[in-house]
Amino acid sequence: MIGSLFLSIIFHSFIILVFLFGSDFLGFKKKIKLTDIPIEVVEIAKKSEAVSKKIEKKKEPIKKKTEYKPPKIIEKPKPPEFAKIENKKTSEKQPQKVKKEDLKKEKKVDRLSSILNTIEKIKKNQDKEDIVKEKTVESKIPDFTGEKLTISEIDIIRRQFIPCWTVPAGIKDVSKISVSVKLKLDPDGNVIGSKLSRDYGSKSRSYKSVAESVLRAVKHPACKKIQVPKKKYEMWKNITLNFDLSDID
Amino acid sequence: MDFKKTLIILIFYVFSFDCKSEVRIDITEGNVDPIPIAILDFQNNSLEMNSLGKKISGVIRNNLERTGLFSNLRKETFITEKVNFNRKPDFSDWRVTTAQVLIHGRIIELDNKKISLEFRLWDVFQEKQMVAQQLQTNKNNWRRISHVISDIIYSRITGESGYFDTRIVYISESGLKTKRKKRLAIMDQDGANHKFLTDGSYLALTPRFSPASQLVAYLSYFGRVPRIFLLDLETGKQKVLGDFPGMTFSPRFSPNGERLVMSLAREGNTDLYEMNLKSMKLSRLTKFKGIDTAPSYSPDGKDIVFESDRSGRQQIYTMNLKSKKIKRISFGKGKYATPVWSPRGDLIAFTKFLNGEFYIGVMYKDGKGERVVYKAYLVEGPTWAPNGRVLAFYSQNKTKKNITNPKIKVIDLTGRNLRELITPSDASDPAWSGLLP
Repeated sequence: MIGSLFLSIIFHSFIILVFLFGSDFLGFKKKIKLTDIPIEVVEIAKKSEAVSKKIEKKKEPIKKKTEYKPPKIIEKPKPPEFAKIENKKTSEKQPQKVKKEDLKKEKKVDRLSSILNTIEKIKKNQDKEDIVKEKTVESKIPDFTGEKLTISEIDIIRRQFIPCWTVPAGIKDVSKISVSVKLKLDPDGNVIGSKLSRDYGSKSRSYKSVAESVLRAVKHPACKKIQVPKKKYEMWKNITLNFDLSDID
Repeated sequence: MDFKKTLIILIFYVFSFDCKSEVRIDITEGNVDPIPIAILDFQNNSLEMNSLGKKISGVIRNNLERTGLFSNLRKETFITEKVNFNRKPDFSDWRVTTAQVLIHGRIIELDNKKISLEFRLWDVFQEKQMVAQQLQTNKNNWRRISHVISDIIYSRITGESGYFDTRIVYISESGLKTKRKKRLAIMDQDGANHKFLTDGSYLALTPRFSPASQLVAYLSYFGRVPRIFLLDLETGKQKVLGDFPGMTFSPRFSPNGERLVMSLAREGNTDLYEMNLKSMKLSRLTKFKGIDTAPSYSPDGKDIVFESDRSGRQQIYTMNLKSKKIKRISFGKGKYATPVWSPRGDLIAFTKFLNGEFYIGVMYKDGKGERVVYKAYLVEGPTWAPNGRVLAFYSQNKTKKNITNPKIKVIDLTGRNLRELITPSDASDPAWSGLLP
């Protein structure tokens, strides 16, 4: 009885020891190492829309500069404000001008020239800033072209085709049919080529009917020119539209 | 191992970069508006032929418009009303009209009796000819040839076979409600060429067309005993289908027209029987104490669908004729009745009674995907057009003052296009024929 108890204790303690220290030489840690691969999922995330937004955030200063052009234009009216103030001042001082013309003329010239100088400076600075901004924007265009289309941009493209496609509802096995068509677009968004991904020669009559409705849709006058983010031409110059009837009854 | 991993990652990266260059967009919705079509009058230099051409294109326009899938463009919107038959049309002229499809043709008088019709169907957006065909017929057959052309156009655009060159047999009702006169009548699917087949001396009910021939089976109370009669529409002759001791009703032809399935009430029990129309041999299909009735064949003739109260309430069942295996397919609330298998094979139309209202619905042959197509105070007797895309039935509505008289209605499978068939008097129990031979 005591012997078996003794054996049991030895056996159990052996198992515990194996679990505690055995992992070093039994290779358990190697497996743990494998799970260690968080790889930060960064690669996947980079491809996702969420990160593309992050990228946009990083470029915020540039975008802000370009986007906030209008506020800066508001700054432009500042000189006229100065001018107005000056005009007011001059108009107020006009009666005095008659009395002390020479002095005031000199002063006016000095003041006006200084104001004009400051305006010019401001303008020059602004122009310089604009040039710099343009240069920076231009230099960033390749980055834009390299960006993926956002979900909302894809949705805008998608929505444009909806009114052009007359759904052949009610046909047999309608929910099993999907037709893909490859579109070629020019930089202005004009559809310059369309081709079915798969020929419908050997397919069913229902498929043929859907395929023809799809071809009519992409050649519909209302869908000849598509609204697209022009800077991302590289992204949408070739589009595959997949017309899927599985949700349509 | 590391080398392999890097190689896999590299391949994956290259492929992912390649995919990046092409955007894929799923379009899962579109518009359900009818397709705008331009149908020009069939041309000829003689006045007589020209007016016949106008009549023909008029029938085609009406046929296509009634489907709800097409909308005819007004002639006033056309830039030209004449298109040279042997030349490609100027598609820019037709794109302006918003027409997606253009149909034009000519009519030629071959002799005093015969005419030839030639027509072309164009896809305006694709600038592609879809159909070019020539047909010949007798002059007085112009209405039927119009239906045939309509079928060709419909079939080419929708991918489904047409249903315009068909007829509908139905029960014409007249007189007081206490002394209702019910006659067998027939008409083209568009209501033209209406004819009464019986004089109304005896009550006629539940007519059924043979899909393969011009035979009509119907229930008549001739001799005050309800029996199934077979009427040959070509010869006008009719005969009683067997002289059984009990009452026979709910007949339905097999797809090849060689067999007939029906209900037979014997000693207070109603079961299903099948009759071989060549040998006139009768075989029993069901043996159950309850009521098994309203049988209908599947398009391949191997199965039947029927209604039965064997579960305590009217439900729909299917039966394999070889194995005699029965399977219940309806499980919803309410009572299910008069199931009819679609000629296309995918759906079963039925009548449902729930909470004091009747419904016409469809479900897949396994009972799944049940949906309502139409509901009213009373709707009954669904019958399929031969393409399995359109249903006809009769209905009565309840107004504040009274209940309206029965009328035949036609509805598209999507439930979006409901039309009433114009009949000389009240109408019930429609049965759609197959495409005419």
